[in-house]
Amino acid sequence: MPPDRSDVVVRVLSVELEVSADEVRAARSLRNDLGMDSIAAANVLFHLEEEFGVELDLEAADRLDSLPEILQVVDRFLPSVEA
Amino acid sequence: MATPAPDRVVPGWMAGAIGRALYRRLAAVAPTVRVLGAEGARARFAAARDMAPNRRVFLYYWIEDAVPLMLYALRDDGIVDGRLRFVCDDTLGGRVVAEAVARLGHEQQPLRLTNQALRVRDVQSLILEGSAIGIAADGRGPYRFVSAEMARLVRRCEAVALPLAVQADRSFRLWARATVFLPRANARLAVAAGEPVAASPDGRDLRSRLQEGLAGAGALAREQLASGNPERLATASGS
Repeated sequence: MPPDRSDVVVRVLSVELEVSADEVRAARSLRNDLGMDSIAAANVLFHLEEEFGVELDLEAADRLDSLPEILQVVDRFLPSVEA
Repeated sequence: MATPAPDRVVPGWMAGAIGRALYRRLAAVAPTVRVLGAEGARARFAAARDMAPNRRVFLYYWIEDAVPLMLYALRDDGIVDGRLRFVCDDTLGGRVVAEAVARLGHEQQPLRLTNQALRVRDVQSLILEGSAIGIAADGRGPYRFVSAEMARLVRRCEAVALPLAVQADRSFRLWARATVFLPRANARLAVAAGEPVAASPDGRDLRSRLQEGLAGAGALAREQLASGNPERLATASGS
């Protein structure tokens, strides 16, 4: 069974921000709580695009500052994949 | 430590109009300005390219030097040549400079601050873009401090960063959010490049070395203005 989509996002955030998965899940603001600046966010996006094999569309996204916001971008772009 | 006010949404036409006025002013002032230190700065830029021919060169400066740098670009294309793309954000100041950059015939690398998601995409483009760039190291403040993002960008791109200071002895202060100077007619314009800075394999102290690089370039520019002896100081290693 493929890993849950949110687990993949958490793992990517955990690797790129060098924090634990629990810290990623607990963070209300990735920027304020975990120090995710735009370079780190760009790396997260690069990594997610490699993981999912697609280029994620950010035009409709206002913010990428929390796990739900990033999941929303991924879900919008990968609607046909079972989460 | 100066800290910026929140970004304001300014109509594009207004930023464009200010940018065009700024360019007209720079074009009028440029023939009257005496440039000091250009030879030394050009030599440093060439040395930075030669030092790592397969790596990108990031020319970095304080935001307060952005307008004097545009003036210098009008006078001398030895450093600010067509291969250099300027990173311009979408604040009022960034769009004003962008307008002047466009009129100077240089390419821009947009960096949208007003939308976080699109900013991330712009940063990705910046990382993937292979050309040399010009970038303010303190673009979002606090001013005169190299941002952590700047250091991370240099490391991520494995770039060679060349600190550049451009200062005039006679200037108008333009606006209060960031201290930006518009050189007056007949000013002397000192251009100084510091020692190239590259990320060490262990990533040690890159941000402080970038900070020191700009401090050194600024000191050299001030020395040039004080002494008025461009040839001696342009080749000095006092950065």
